[in-house]
Amino acid sequence: MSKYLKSLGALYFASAIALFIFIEYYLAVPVLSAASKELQGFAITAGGFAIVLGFTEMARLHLTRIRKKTAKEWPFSICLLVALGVITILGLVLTPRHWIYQTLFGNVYTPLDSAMYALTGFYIISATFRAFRIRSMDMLIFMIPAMLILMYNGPIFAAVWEGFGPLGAWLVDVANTAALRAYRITAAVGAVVFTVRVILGIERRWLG
Amino acid sequence: MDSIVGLSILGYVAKMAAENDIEITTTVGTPENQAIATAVVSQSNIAAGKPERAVDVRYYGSQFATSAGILGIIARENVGANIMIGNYGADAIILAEAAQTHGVMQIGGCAVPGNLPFFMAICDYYLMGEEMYAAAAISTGNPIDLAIIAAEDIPKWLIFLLVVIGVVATTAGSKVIQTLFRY
Repeated sequence: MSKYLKSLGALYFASAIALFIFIEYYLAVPVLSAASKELQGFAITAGGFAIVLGFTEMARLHLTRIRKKTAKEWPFSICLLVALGVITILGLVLTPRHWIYQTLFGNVYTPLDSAMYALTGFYIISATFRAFRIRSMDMLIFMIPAMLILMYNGPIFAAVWEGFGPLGAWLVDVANTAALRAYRITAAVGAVVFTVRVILGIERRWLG
Repeated sequence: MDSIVGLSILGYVAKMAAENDIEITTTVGTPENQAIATAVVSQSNIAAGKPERAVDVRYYGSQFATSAGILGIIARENVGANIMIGNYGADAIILAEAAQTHGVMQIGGCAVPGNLPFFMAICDYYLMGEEMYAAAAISTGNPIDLAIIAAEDIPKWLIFLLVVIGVVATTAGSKVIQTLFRY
């Protein structure tokens, strides 16, 4: 029963805040706007506490792996915990502006992050290859304009048949724009309906 | 909002996994969602009558650190299915393609138009934009939710009709639809 009341309390609290932000957006009364800014500031503070929670949970998970010597995983967990500990202690003791912290961040974290991002390029190529295998009617619909746009962008095809130019331009300017707008509008309708369901408490599974 | 949709669907998936004794690993992109996802999975276990089941919710840090973590899970933990629903960026293609390479059955859902072709090309099943919001409602099986989704179809059909008329009119050289909706 207490768990139910706790969940209900969280629901009412979240709904009231969401409704307040919603009303403030449309009324734009200075007092309400100031209160809304304060509330959004609270969200940033709560996010800060959540990082501590995330940090603790991550450390707990990896300590468990090391203790149990989980196959193939525990050496990585040691690396992670060492990195986590070193960067946290350096940040707390020397501050994040210190050159040692900056060197570690700029020369270790940033290149690794960029390397992960660079993987996207390779995965796009293999995903494109996969897209060109027609598995269903959807993929056929997906494939035909893709081929036409490929031909539109390749000058050799325009030299073979002039029609690729206007056809590709029509696909990009008219068909693609119309479809994208329809997609965005329907997604927005869905998002609005979902938001209303959340605010009214009809959708409550996200609370646990 | 996409994260809340993801959490709602997580509740449904976690309950089904608990009922069928299937292990479930949840990864989140933000620390705020970790606490919520833990509560969602825990409550789903209770709802399935198995409160003793372990709750495995992982947070890895930044966007690409999370991607690296998930790639590790896919490579090392014999993943059977990968459900990616929520707010994804450039990491969507990395995760989906890596899972596909390992033969994992995938369901993708994202409202970002740029990610849609990747999900369509790679995932076995995908939820396009509004379908993702509808899935969260339909999975409840609640008559009120189903009625809301059914009612939502009316403006969707009107929008579809306008798009078709707009495409035909623009192709014919008329700018009636653009003028009508310009503000």
